[in-house]
Amino acid sequence: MSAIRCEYLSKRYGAQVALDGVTIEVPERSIFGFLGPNGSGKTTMIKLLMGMSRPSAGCAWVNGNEVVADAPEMRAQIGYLPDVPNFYDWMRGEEFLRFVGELHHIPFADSVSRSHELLELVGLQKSGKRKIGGYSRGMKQRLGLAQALMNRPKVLFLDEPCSALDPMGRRDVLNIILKLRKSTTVFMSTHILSDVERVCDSLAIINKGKLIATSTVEALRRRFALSSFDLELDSDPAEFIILLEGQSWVQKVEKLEISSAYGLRVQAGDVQAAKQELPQMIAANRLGLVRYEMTMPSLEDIFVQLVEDEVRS
Amino acid sequence: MKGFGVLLRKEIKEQFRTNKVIIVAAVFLIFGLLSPVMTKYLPEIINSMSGTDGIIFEMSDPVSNDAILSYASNIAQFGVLMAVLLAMGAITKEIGSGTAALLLSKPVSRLSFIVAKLTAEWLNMLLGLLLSGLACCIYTLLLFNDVSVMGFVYQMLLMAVYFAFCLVITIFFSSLMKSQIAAGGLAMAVIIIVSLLSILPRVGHFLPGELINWGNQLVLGTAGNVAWGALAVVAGLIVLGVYGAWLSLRRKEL
Repeated sequence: MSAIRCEYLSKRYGAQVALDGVTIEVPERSIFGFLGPNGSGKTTMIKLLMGMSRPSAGCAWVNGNEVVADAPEMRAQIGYLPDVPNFYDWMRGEEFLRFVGELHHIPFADSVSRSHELLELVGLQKSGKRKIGGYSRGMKQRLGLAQALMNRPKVLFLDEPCSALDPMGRRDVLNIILKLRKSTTVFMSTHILSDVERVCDSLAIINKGKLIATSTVEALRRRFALSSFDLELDSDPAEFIILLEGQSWVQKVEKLEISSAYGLRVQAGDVQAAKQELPQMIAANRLGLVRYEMTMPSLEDIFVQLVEDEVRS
Repeated sequence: MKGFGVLLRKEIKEQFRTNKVIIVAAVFLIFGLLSPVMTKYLPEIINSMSGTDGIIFEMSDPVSNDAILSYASNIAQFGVLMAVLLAMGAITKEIGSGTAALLLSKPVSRLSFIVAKLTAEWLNMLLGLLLSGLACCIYTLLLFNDVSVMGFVYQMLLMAVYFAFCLVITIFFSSLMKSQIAAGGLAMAVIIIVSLLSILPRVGHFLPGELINWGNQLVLGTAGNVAWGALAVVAGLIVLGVYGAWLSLRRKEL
């Protein structure tokens, strides 16, 4: 069963299209990455799924309930971390978590123990008694994650959960997200590809409000894999590039920025032909080969390629 | 009204922790303490100055009701200002800072969010009114040896209803506008216009400003017109204002 489903979800602000007919389905107890550059519609998507914004067209369902505005019952099983979480400065961290517990009707004793547990989980156990007004941006982000988990949600929406964190903080937050896999469906928007690569089971890529790919991370990698060959040569391959570009099995040749050698990436349309002919061509042109590798493209490569293809089309 | 109790407790706590309770109480107390003193000694101060340049002021001896009416007049004016200042950022500020989005992502209704704010702010004003009213009563009793307690209590209750109206108007505009200054300005304009309309012969008797006149008559013990009509209109406007604020907040993108 899908924990989150939306069909043809669109949002327009006047003439500007923020989200254009997005249809996705997120299976229960999976971590779903919603990937896109800044301003691509990620926050709009989360706000629509939370019922905080009204769609111009389309429908969405979370935990089997249709998303509508002002439906408190629907939100009882949802957790939400906004991209820039803001709190009441006069409250203390622990006090805010207990307040959230009260809003979720968690008994007081459970609320106190849960708030201690979460403060420890996000690394704020020493700052729980401090006023939130004195917290740094990163600390607020951690508190934001803690409050989103207070009710042990079935579905957790995280809008750029690592954006304000230092590398250690990012690692901690990603580890927390990984631990949720068995109990919670996580919908996480981000533009940090390595985060998606590390924690997500599946992902959707969005650009300028349009969905350009949905897949599992592995399937996406396989789709784009084994067609690239990275070469490092000890002499300038300018003439070799011209030669390569004349081959029928070559799709694209690009120079790689490497300080100690000349780097080339050859994308092959026919992988078998490339495997046979590329080493022979290197040898025939008497080029010193430092490195030869069939590459698995990183998610970053795939993302850039998909976005560029979308722009071109 | 899901989550109303929890939100109300939080709002009341906020009124205390952000010193709003102290500010409102201090402003109201100033008038509670000063009005009887000024009423008692103003003629003496003026008399002490008269005659020095040939001008003589003739003033009748003040009585306790003069002190109460002076207090009521000051509180009515500054109470409106306090109500607008308290409530103008109630919703705009929370939407602007993102706290509304965080709060309304929990199982609470938008109606509870509005009514909790309104109730906490009204209770704050009620506390200020109670303290200053008590101070005014004691000072009036000390200075004039007489005070119409029941008339004064009724007047304060009517004043509290009038302040609830002012708060609702301001919260309505706070839910409608993007800036708290705009919300406060519009609310103040509407309250002033409604007050001015109160002087109209027939319509005025049913407008919120009539509550203040009714209160004054209760203090003086004069057999004036009982303004149940105005009370009903204010109650209706409060309900309409809350409904309007809820409709506006429902349509807001958080």
